[in-house]
Amino acid sequence: MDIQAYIQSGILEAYALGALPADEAAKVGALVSAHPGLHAELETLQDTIRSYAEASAKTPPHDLEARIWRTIEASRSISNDTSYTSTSVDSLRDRRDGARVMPLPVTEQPRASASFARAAVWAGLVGSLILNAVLWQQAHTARERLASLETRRVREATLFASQLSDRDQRLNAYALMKYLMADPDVSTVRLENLRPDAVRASIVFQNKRSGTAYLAVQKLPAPPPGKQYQLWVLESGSPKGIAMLHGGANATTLEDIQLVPVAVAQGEAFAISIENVGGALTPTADQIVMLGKVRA
Amino acid sequence: MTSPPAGSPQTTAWSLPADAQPQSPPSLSGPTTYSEAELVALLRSKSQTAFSYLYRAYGDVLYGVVNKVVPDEGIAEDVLQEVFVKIWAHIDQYDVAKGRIYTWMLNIARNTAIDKLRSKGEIMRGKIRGDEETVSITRTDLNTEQSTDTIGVRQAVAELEPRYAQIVQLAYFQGYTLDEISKVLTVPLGTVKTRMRHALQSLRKHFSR
Repeated sequence: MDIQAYIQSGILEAYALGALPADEAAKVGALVSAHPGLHAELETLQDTIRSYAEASAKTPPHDLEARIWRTIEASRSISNDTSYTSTSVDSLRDRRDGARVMPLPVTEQPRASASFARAAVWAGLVGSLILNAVLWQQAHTARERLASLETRRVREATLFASQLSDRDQRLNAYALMKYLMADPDVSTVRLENLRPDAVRASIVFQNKRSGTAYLAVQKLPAPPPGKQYQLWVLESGSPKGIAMLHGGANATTLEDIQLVPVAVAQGEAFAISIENVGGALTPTADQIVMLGKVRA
Repeated sequence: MTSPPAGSPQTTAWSLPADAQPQSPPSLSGPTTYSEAELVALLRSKSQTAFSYLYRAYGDVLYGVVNKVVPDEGIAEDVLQEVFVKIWAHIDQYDVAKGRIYTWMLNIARNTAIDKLRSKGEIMRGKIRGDEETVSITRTDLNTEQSTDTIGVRQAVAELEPRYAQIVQLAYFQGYTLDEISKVLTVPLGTVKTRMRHALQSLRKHFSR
């Protein structure tokens, strides 16, 4: 390939300025890795951007250093396992705002699997009391993870959730819960309310074999304006966002239970935190309102 | 997993937790400027010393970028906090083969700020911020610690042609893609790329003087 022509085209500048969508950025990244000439040119560009950034330097407020250190210390035991290896300015094209269901950028089509044949049985039984759409938190995942089984499961669960909302409902969520409770593969994780300021109750019904779970929201007050509840699972010590909840669910009777299907194969604990609309990559430590440990 | 702190945020004076162990980083060449390798090693130690150094050496630049993307200072502070938390959390995954750590940190800052901009719906499609926002670096709150070198750089930036400054503003500080810029400015894609190249070449010349 004509390295000089490639350099002259300005594509590296576009890459360095973060103006390329993820797929194109990936191609450029690959070429840069393969051609030392390109690598050197990109280095110079990134140097220039660094200098330009320095020109815009601004001193933050004096107390911010201490505040940030406190946050780091507080989140020390919660670390994000998201891969973060690239120095490319990844495009944010894949991010959608919180108001829409977000399909994950995988190219493979979901395939029927035994676990979802099982889930399909459940799908036939679920009532129309799933009141709100399930949103998926998309973390910054490395491209290697896009092809992972885990991601496929999440994508399948997203489709599963949309099937549920489209379906003509015959049985209500209470009936589903009866089946869940009777299912020997399903274990329950009762989430503990960490704050005494309001009544909160929710349970996770988890089928470890199939990798599906339901969050039964029995009672959650409406979140503050601009905020949203986010469900997390703790895997190998790292929290992973698995769902955003719309609104709160105020139900005092079982029939009003909201069931939110999520995909999670394993985990040590489930948590619900209050985050800004759209969610966060790591839970805000002092905004975790519910927490429940999975029994081994 | 330790239980997360419940209840209200800490109101006590900030102090080091009991188990904090300030570690002296291995084989450093100087007290205030570390090489890339030293900086990475320092960060991986996860000590408070490391954080302080990182914050003092890079906080201004990172905050500057964040604040250019997110003008609201309160939100910009939140973003800066997120940025440092991410840097801290992901330092083990930083891959030196992929580029300099400074760039890595800058990208985290820029991307996190753009994320925040999007989540707050502050991006206004079709509204292009004026050139004066990139070209005029006059600030009434000039930090006295900043060296004359930095002031010189700022003046250099002020000389950047408006349409180049605009391209950088749209792409880097507002997160528009090539395609979007092409539509917004109603110029062909190739022209956008060429302008980007000229913009960065021009900047490069200023900084290499």
